[in-house]
Amino acid sequence: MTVENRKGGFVGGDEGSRDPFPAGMRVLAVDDDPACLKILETLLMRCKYHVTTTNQAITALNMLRENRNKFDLVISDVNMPDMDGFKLLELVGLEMDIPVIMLSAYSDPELVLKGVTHGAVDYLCKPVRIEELKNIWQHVVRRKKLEQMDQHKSLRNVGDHTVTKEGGHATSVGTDSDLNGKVSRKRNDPNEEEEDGGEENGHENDDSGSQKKPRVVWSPDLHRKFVAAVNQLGLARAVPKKILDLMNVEVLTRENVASHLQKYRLYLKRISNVASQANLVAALGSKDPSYMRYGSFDGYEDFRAFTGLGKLSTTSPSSYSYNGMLGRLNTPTGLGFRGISSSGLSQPNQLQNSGGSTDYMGQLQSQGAINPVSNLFGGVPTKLEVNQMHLQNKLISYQELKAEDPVTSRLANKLTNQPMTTTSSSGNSSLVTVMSSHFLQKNRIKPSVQMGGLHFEPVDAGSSDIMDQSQCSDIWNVCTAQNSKPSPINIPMPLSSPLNNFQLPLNGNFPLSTSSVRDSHIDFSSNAVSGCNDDSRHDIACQGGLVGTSNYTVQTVDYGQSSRSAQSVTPAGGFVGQDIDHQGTAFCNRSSDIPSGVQLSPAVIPADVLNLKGGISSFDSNLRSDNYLPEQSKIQEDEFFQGPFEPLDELMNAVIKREYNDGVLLDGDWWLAGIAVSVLPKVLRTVLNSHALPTG
Amino acid sequence: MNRLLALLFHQGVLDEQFLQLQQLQDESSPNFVTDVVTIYFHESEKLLRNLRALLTDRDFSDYKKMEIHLNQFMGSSSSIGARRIRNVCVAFRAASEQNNLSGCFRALDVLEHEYCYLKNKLHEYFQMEQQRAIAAGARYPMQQHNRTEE
Repeated sequence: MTVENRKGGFVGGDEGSRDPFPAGMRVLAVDDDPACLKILETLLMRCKYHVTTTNQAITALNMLRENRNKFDLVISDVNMPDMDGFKLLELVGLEMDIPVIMLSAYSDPELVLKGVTHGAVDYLCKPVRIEELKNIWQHVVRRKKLEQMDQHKSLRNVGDHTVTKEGGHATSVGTDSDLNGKVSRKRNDPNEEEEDGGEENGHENDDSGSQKKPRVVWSPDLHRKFVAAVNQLGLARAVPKKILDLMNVEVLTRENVASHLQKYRLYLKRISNVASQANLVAALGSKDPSYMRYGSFDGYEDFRAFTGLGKLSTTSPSSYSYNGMLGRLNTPTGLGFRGISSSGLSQPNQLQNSGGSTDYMGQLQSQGAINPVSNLFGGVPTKLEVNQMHLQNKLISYQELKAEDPVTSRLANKLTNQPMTTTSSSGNSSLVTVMSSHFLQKNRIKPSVQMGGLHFEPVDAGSSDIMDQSQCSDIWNVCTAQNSKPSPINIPMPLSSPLNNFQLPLNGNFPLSTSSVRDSHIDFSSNAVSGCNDDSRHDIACQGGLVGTSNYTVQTVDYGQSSRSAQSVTPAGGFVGQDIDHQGTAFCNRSSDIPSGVQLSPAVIPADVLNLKGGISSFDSNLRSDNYLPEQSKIQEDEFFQGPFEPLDELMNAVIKREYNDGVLLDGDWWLAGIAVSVLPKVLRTVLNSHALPTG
Repeated sequence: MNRLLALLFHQGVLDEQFLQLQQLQDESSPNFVTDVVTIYFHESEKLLRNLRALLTDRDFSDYKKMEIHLNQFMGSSSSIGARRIRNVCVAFRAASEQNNLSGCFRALDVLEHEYCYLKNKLHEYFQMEQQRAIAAGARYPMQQHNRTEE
């Protein structure tokens, strides 16, 4: 049954042109579930959009095809009986180039990834909240902006003869048949921008001053002819002029064909990327050309070589694809992220906010990650932006780590390369995955990934762990800072698992209690491997260190712990940086052999806190915040701690002492627990500047 | 909020999403909640019947098909705010992914049970709301026309 109705509800008229944007934006909602559809419709109307609904994808396509200008945005469910949501997404992108938002009851990373690779601008999870819908207009604006930028760019780039002719199809100039190969190569990155522009420019590009051609609708028939022509010519030889001749359609101009060819190429590339991603696990070392472009793969390879990390575990395909995906995402938004290549280690030239270049790392080193950091916290992150921030975060931590020895580099590597680690990776990955999960959180990605597998490799290595610790704390700081804005993300993972992983690495004192660490490490890894910790003791242990999960600032949120509770006081809620090795280990110690002298502080102190002597005082005050107590009470496995505050004091003392003993000179400013976002840049600056890394 | 609803919240049968639905109800869509819930019940019964039919079919092997139904059921349940039902769906899905037939059966049983419970309670709730509206109208006949919006 087709349900079609149109509800405007506002003065704006059909075009909605009189409504102040974003009100009046025309949305097409597609969902086969009538209850959801009705709810979605009402929600959208409440946001003051013009809503049209249908429960059939085919109807939706027809509506879109009949008048491309009729809608600004499409929201579509993923699972529909008559057509796969992704297919619809692709078709809309190919033919109409309207932003499409995916909607689904599940938010598996694979699905989200699929959505992104098929060109969705966003991926929402049911139940949809009105807050999320209130912001979707940004995708429309962004696309329009890109198109305009695109037009200007191509106008500038274009040679003479096409300018006047092109007018509304400025961007398609780039694929002028003569320059076809060259230009498409040259404009690899901007290609995606152009793809957006495509044929849309016709009605928008008034400035170019030339004729406005009526928009060509690529009907399925037409497209079929096009594909046939392309296949006949062979993709390599397919130039717009020849295609046009083969198709023999009068209305089409070469420019129409050119821009459509561009899109088609991208579409094919996307498909092949999806396929290649699927093969990534097996082909870990292989170089996927599409990734090369983004450099992330390169970076990874180089990095591996550089660090000689033979035992880096296989990054799951998702991580690569994630990188590539991010790269892709980044491209349209002007991010020139070139991945984390070892070349990045060489000194940078300029620090670019948008997660720029290979220089990034060097820049960070030299200047401190101020810009990226500030960028991290600006505004409401959209998915794309979050991805950027994510990348930047990774870069920051990465570069911090990279600055030091290979061990830390390992950590960094893990961090950057495993946003969605599903398998247990070698030791360092714990920190990384933890961090990654942060990012994922931010991205509203709900990884059903096991956080397990966070083995603390440095433990095994047994050396230079201090540095790892500090580095970890840096990363930690970055992550915590980033996560200071809680977003209720439910990670189906049990808390204990990630926490476990968490605890171990982040300690400057790590080397001190190597044995206990090792023990805990062992326990830890086993726990980690199991992923979900059903071991109550273990859980307890972790939670012991972690203060009421709900209050766990960053971690809590990240790990979903069912915690919709805001991240309360960071330090209190915060996961006690396992602070230190022994404390952490004590927590993780399944065998309840808590090393003597281990102050089990129920409060979870972010690792970074622990590392910072200077921060301790502030930490103290934070710890004594109210949140600490409630959380404290939550952790009733009293075997592990002696009481709310005493252990904390002892802990702090121990930390301080140890830090002094170890010669770990950590800048007091580092301590991030509870630090407001605004403080972070300063903190990071200090961190970066101090380079207080133990040489141990 | 009346006590029945509070009870349902407390039991975890409903969650905040249901509140959101209630907030969406206003003059322009006065019966929004009841409409949506009615649609939900209608669809859910169909889905549950399909699921039951699929599972009891002796030649059942196509878990994918079941997952499609399950997907929709889960989506609409979470959109309504039927948290417990949604949780059961999650477990159901897990069992289905492991091709665990008996697990699926168990989950389906629980699902049906939860669904019945929810349906009864919501019916009850709507009736109470209706009576309240009527009573309010009767009590304040002068403001009748205002009350009719409820």
